[in-house]
Amino acid sequence: MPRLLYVEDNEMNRDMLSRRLQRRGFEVLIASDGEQGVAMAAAEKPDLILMDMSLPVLNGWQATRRLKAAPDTAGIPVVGLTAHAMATDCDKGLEVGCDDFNTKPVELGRLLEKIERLLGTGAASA
Amino acid sequence: MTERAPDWERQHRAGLANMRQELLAPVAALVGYGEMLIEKARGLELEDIGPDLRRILISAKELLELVDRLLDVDGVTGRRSGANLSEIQAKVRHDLRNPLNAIKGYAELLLEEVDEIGAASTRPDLEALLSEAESLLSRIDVIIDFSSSRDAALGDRERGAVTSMIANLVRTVRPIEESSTP
Repeated sequence: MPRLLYVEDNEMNRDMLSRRLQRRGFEVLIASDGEQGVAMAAAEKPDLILMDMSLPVLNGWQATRRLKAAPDTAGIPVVGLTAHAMATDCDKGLEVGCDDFNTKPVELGRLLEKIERLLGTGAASA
Repeated sequence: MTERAPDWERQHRAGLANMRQELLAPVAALVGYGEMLIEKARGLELEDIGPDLRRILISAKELLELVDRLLDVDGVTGRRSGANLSEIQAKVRHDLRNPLNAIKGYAELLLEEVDEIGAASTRPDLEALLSEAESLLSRIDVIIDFSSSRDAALGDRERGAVTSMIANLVRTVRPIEESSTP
């Protein structure tokens, strides 16, 4: 079962998306701010990280930069999630090391395609 | 004699008023569907879906409060002398996406679950709510840049809403521009 770390401060979005991913066979770990996300990624070594960009303590851009700078976590794919829907925001995410980017509201089918591609699997379906 | 507001301020306020008008209707519809679904679930004793329906309603009310506050023509945003309409548009687009994400996500989740938990009778209302959420998302996108090619991806219903919105915007702004021409 692929393990995802979902870093999101909004409680409802966290509950909703983690349940939808669990229904598709993923184990979902949760962190509620960027610093906690970095710590959990190092401790739990998830297969992939879903990183909201507007986070307290350490924002998603800063957290991703730290993850990609640390040898232990640099290889974990990161998909950035943001309510900023401008192309420049995606570019900024890719610059700090996000492997892919998804805007909110999340289209689950599209997100699952990205997860599958990054994990090299075809297990999940919308 | 009453002092006339400068042209830029009248155009700014007209732009805000138009955005507010275009967004309030679908947001109010989301609140309505949320309340109706909660009543229906209560009446049918469908307790399993109650918590998620309440989350939808909370998010819809949050949207309503945001639209009301961010696009208040007579409030801080409307009066701000340095207010730039495009900055406000970008903020509206960003801030509305989080609650909209929750509404769409919970509605889709419930649509996946209703048959399993014996709540299939709520499916039509959930589909209508989801359709309103998608329509609102299209409007939010178009508000930022209605001249972009994004509308090529819209369905007939959204394209109709967008066309109506642009027509309203042109109708609102043109008389202001004409009256300011020497």
